[in-house]
Amino acid sequence: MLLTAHQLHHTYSGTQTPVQALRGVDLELEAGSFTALMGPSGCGKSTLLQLCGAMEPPTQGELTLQGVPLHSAGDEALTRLRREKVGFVFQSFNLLPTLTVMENVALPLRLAGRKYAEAEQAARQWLERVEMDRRRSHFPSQLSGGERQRVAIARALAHQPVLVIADEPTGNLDSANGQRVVELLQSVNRETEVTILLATHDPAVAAAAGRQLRMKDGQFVSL
Amino acid sequence: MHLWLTFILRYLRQEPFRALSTLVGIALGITVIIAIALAKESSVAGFQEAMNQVAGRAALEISAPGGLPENRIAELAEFEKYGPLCPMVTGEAMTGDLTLQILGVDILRDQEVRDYELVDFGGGRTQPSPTQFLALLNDPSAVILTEKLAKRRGWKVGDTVPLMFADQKQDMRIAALLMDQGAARAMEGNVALMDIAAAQWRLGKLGRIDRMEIRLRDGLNVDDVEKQIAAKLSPGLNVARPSRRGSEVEKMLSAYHFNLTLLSGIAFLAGLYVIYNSVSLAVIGRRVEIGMLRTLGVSRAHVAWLFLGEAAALAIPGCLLGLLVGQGLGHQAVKLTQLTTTTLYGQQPVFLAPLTFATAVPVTLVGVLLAMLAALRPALEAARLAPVTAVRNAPEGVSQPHRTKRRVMIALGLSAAGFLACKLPTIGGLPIFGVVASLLAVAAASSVAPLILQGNLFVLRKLMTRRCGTAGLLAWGNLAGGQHRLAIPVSALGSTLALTTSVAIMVGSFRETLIYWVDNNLSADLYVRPGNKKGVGGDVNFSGDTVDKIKAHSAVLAMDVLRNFDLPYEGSRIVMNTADFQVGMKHAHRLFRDTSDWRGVLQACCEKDAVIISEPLALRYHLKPGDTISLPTPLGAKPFRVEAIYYDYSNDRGSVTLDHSAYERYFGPVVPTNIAVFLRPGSDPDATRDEILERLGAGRNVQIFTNVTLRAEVMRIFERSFSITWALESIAILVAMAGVAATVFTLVLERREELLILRQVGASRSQLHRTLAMEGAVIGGMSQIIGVGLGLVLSLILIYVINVQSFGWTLQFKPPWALLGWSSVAVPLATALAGWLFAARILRRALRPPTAAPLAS
Repeated sequence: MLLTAHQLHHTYSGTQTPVQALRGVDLELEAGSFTALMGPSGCGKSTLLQLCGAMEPPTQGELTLQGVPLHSAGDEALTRLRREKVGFVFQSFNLLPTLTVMENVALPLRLAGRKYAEAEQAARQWLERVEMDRRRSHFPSQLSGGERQRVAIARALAHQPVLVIADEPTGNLDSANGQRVVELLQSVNRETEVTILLATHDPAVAAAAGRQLRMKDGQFVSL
Repeated sequence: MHLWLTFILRYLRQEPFRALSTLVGIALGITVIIAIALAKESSVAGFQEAMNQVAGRAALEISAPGGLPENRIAELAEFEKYGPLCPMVTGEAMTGDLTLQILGVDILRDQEVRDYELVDFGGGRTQPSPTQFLALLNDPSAVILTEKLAKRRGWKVGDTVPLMFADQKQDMRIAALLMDQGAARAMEGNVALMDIAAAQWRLGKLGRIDRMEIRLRDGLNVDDVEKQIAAKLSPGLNVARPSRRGSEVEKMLSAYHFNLTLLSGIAFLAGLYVIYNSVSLAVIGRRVEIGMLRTLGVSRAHVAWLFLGEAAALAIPGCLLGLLVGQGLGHQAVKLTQLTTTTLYGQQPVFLAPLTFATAVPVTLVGVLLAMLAALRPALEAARLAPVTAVRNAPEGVSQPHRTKRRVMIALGLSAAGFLACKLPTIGGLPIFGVVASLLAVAAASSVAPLILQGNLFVLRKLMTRRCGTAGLLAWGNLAGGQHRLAIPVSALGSTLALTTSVAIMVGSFRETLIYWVDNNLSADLYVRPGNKKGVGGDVNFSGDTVDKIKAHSAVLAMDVLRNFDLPYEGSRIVMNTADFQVGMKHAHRLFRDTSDWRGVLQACCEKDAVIISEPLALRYHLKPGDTISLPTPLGAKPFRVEAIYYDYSNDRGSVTLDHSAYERYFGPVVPTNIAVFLRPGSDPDATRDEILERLGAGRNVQIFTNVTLRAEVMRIFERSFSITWALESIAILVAMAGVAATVFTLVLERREELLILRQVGASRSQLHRTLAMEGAVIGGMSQIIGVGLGLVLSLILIYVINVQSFGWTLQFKPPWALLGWSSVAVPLATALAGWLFAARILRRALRPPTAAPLAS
């Protein structure tokens, strides 16, 4: 099992009234699977993705990624895990505006200590894969939304993570571009056997995943 | 490095205005530090270099307070076993605006100590024999100048040059020219060599020399010989290395230099605020990107280093630019400080000290390190941002303004620490703890600045939202919404304004105190001094019958013949004064610190051989009435009772004043350096002044001030002394304004889309202009509120701690309310203008016909 979550709870206490985002979630992801999380806004999808993506530890419960316990890991260990094993695709793309397309994609490899030429070669392969090679010298501001998301997918995959977290990856795209992104994720999942955990409001996008899970009020509910 | 290049440098390139204004802020800060450092170095290094060049091979010198009497030279003969002895008389002469260093030497002996080579002397032989030298200078009107000076002025051998010695004008014949080596290099070649007897005569030093120099025989140890001579010298004489004079000058100027450094630091401090502000804005504006970096596995430390690197990227070129400009402005700084160093300390900068690696490297390193330190807080805040920020787009981890209790507690703690620091003594005579107290006060104010901002916005709410139209409503909304961002620039500008305000209050108080002091101390009708005398101390005397000619004027009722000269005291130099206290009791008036019975004090001094001392001397050496002060006299160290302490703003070195009768017993005859003249009732001071000048004739070089013109001169010197202060203050304000401009610009830039929406819903350009101008005015106004409040606190520390510890001057607290009122109008206006101009620029560039394009993106 690539990822297991047992009785995950997560509470945001920064505000005046603590918000309980997850209330005892159990989840298992097999290696190479493609899972879609659905549910209304505020149901806890994004929180679950963040915890699975090693962005922060849960406030309660157990969570392991390839046997590494995320619930008890410190900031440094989580940082290393994100750098080596996780890729992220966000709704708002989150490309770094001062880096070119090539540099954005090569960045995770450079952070992992790969040499410049090596990182560039790998990045270039991924850019070819997402059909963005011709735009490699452009800056994100010079791309359309769909192009930016394809670059973001290339960046999420460039360092060969075991898990890709995609939070509403089509949320900011029109239907044609959204479809293209979904197909891209599907084919990548098939070809590389990378595990994908995706959150979406769109049933059509969720249908592309092999497994769909629905959340409500911080818990899974049956479909 | 790669990430720094792409994430930081490219970002700076994309925000050229913010980057440039920050860089200019740092550059200006470093500029003034370098310019002031060069000015300081020039005032000391010029003296030290000249001293070393003139000293030649002299290893030791014997001197006496007030000059070494010729009748005691014979007793030094026994020291010839250590090496040849050479007498030296020095002084200054002027020709036009040029000051020449006069070296009066015994030509027959002097070549033992110094080498002289003459230009084209004896058909190609450049080194004259002592007798040939003597032949050249046997005429008392002959002088040997340097080739360098002659070339500059177009003079040649045989020409006559009019020189003014002390109070005499004399045409001197150029007997020869010295080649550019040894002593001829001193003072940039502005050196004149004379026979010692002629120099004594011209400089009014008949019967005494300044020092006896000793060139040690080979193999003798300087320390050993110094000890042996010191043990054998009769009381009143002392032996020392020539370098001692340099360290005395350095120590004498240390407090003035320290305060100049502090002043120059204000602009740099403002530059650091600009850095802090700039990096903070970058962190706040890029939090999603930072979150993204963290998501990609960039560690917290790496993020912090990136933003510290941003500070370095701005500071390194800023410092280098500052070095270049600072060197260029060094001349101006020397000019602005010259009057003070000459008037108060008798030190005239000879040349502009060059910018050396020894100055440039530490300043650059410290500048860059401090810039990084200034960026540390926002850098750490960036490091604290969690990866989820990339998703949530929330300002998590960035400092919030609402920690009221914590901020108040911190401010109270810092204030208490500052209060305690004010009570601590000086370190090495410098008000280090006073400076620490000021910094703590600034930190305390910065801590509560967000609360002040919040409070003011609360107060302004009704006015802006109900009385200032749509523009007011929008402006208030933006200000209230961006409080946590605005707190930084408001605090930065407020602190810089506070420093400026405090200095303005200090200078205003000083001016009022000085006027009061002048009113109560300048009671004579005329004040006369040798034309070459520029300030207190020095050794510029009246010569010949000048005093008698003045006394002979029928309008003169009484004269107080004064003498003041530099007296070595505890490793520094103080001013030794003597006055005729009997005349003072009858005609003058003095302001004493602890008693109003000034006549009683002077009478007691006459009866007990006691002295009165100035307030700076009392404070610097912890003396009070009734204490004993041991002064070096030609008869050896003598203890004198301190009868009273008088206010004195003429110098900060400290003065001691002795009545004529006691002075003559311990120091010898009173060789006058100044004269206070009291006229008969009904006499016209201006007419009497003109008549005295006429009687003295064209050959005399004296300055006579009437009571009115001397007051004006005192105030002129005061105003000019503080011109450097105003220049430095203006630059500091400029730096802070650059920071505010960058902030306003960034804030406007970030709201492009919001402004577009406003345009789309019908807001006119002028409404948006007014909104942003109003925001600018509120930022300026709040900064000024902090500036005046904190400025008043800082001025109290300046007046009652730093000033007293540095200079020993008690000042009355008299804030210049009118100036503060004007600045309170000017600052908000300036920031409003910045808002207006940037709004115009942004709106022109980004908001061409209202389209929906940005919204769609």
